[in-house]
Amino acid sequence: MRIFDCDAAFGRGTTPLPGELETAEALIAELDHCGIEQALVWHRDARERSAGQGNARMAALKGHPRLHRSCTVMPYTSRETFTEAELFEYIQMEDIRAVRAFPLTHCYLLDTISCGDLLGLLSAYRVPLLVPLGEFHNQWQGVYNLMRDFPHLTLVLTETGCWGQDRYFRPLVRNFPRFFLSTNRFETAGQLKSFVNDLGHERLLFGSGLPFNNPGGYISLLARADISDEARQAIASDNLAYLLGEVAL
Amino acid sequence: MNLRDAFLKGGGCPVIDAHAHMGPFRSIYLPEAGRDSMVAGMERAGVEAIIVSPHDALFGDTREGNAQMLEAVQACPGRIYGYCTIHPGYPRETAGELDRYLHQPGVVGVKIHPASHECPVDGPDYAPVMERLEAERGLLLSHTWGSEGTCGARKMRVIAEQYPNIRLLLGHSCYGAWAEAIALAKDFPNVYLELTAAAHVYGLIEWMCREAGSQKVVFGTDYPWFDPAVYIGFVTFAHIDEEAMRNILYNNARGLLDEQLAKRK
Ligand SMILES: [Zn+2]
Repeated sequence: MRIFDCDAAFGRGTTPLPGELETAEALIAELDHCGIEQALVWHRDARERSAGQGNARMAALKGHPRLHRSCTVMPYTSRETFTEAELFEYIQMEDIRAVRAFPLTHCYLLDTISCGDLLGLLSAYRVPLLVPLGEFHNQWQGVYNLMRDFPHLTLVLTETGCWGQDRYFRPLVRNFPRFFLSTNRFETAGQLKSFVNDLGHERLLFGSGLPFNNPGGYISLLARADISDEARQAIASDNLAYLLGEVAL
Repeated sequence: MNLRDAFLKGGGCPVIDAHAHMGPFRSIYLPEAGRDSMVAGMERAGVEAIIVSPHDALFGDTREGNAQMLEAVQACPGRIYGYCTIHPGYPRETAGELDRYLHQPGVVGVKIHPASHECPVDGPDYAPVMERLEAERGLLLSHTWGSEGTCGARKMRVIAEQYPNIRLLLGHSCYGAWAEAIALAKDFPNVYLELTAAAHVYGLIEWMCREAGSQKVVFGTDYPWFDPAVYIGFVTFAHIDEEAMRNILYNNARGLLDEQLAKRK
C-alpha cells in the first residue's frame, strides 16, 4: 500500500505536544517509520502564530520532494495577506496545489460575505481547500452553508471527529461531488467499510494528523479494513494524487 | 516479522480490550453495536476478550443494562467479561446490584461514569462501591477526564490514596491531563492508564511507557465505538519495544482478569 498523507504538519507551536516534530527532517523520519511515501504539509505557525509566518516556513520543505507544500489563506478584507490575484500568482509560481484555512483561530468567517472571491477562484481552478472541522464556526452547520454556497469547491474536511459523525457528513458526500474527508479521526468500528459499501471509496483521503495524531491507527485501519484492494489504494494515495493533478492554474 | 507487520497482515499477538460497551448509543453511528457483530468484529481484529458495560447500563436503566451484561457474559464465556455498572443517582440500588452480579463467573469488576452521572467520584454515593472493592481487592473502571471535575485527575488521586487495594483503571487516562494521570500510575501500584480515546495522541503511549512503565498501560477502545484495528495500530506504531506492546495489548489485562477470575472459582 503506497501512502500519500493529506494532513501532516511540523514545527513548534504554542502548546508543547507529547510528540514533537519540529523540523522537516523529523517529519520525514516519522513518515519513514510509518511507511508513508509522500505528504501534503503545513507548518504549525500557519495556524498558531500567523498565516504569513507559516507560509514563510514552507521554504524548509524545498529540497524534500516527498513533502508537498500547502499554503494557508485568509480573506484579503483586512489587507494583511495576498490579494486573490497575488495568491494565485504565488501558488502558480511556487507550484503549490492545495491551500488550508483556519477561520475560527484566525477570526473570520469562511463564507460568501468574507471570502466570496477567494472561494469562487478556488472552485474555478479546482484548488483543494483543507479545513479542520473544528475551525468552522457552528461546526457542521458551517460546512453545510459553505458547500451550499460553493457547490463546486473542492473541500477536504480534516480532523472530522472520532465519534461516528456519519449522520452529518453522509448528506454532504451525497450532495456535493467535490466534498472529501480525511481519515484522521476516522476511528469508529466498522465505519470505513460501511462508508465504502454505501458511498464508494472516492471521497476519502488518507490523513495522518501528525504531529497531533498517531498515524499508525489510520494505517492499520486501512490495511485491515474489509474493502477491496482498489478501494484501499485509492484512499491511501490515489484519490489525493488525482485531486492535486486536477488543479487547473 | 515484527509485531506491527504481523498485525497488519492479520496475525499478531493476543489482545484483551478492558474498556468496551455494547448496543446502540444516541449520538454515534455505530455499525457494529450489536453483540453478534461485536463478536464477529473481535474475530476479525484478533481480539481474544473484551470487558463490557452496555450503554443501557450507563445511559438508561442501569438494572436492565446490567442484566444485559450478564446475559452476554454467559452467552460468550471467555470472550465477553462484564463490569457491573453502578449509578450513584440511585444509591438504594447499589448494594443489591453489587450482590447480584459481583460473585457471578465472568463478572470481573465495577464500571462507573461520574461525569455522565454527575456525581463526584469521591462523594458519599460512591463510597459503598469503593469500600466493597477495597475489601475485595476488586477491579474498578472509572471514566476519567481532565484534571478537575467529577472524575478528573485530582479526585482520582484522592481515591487512589484512600483505597490502595482497588485495582483502578483510569478510563481515558484523565484525557488531556496526561502528566497528572501518568504520575498517578507511577505513584500507586494499583493504578493503571487505560487507552480509550487517549491512544490517538501522537507520542502519548511512549510517554506513558517511559514514565509509568508498560506494565501500567492497558488496552481499551470503548468498542463498539472505536475500531480495535485502529487502536492496535496506535500501539504497534508507537516507538516502544515489542515487550511493551504485548504488555499493553494483553499481559496487563490478562493479569488483572486472572486475579479477579481466581476469586470467583
Ligand atoms: Zn467508555
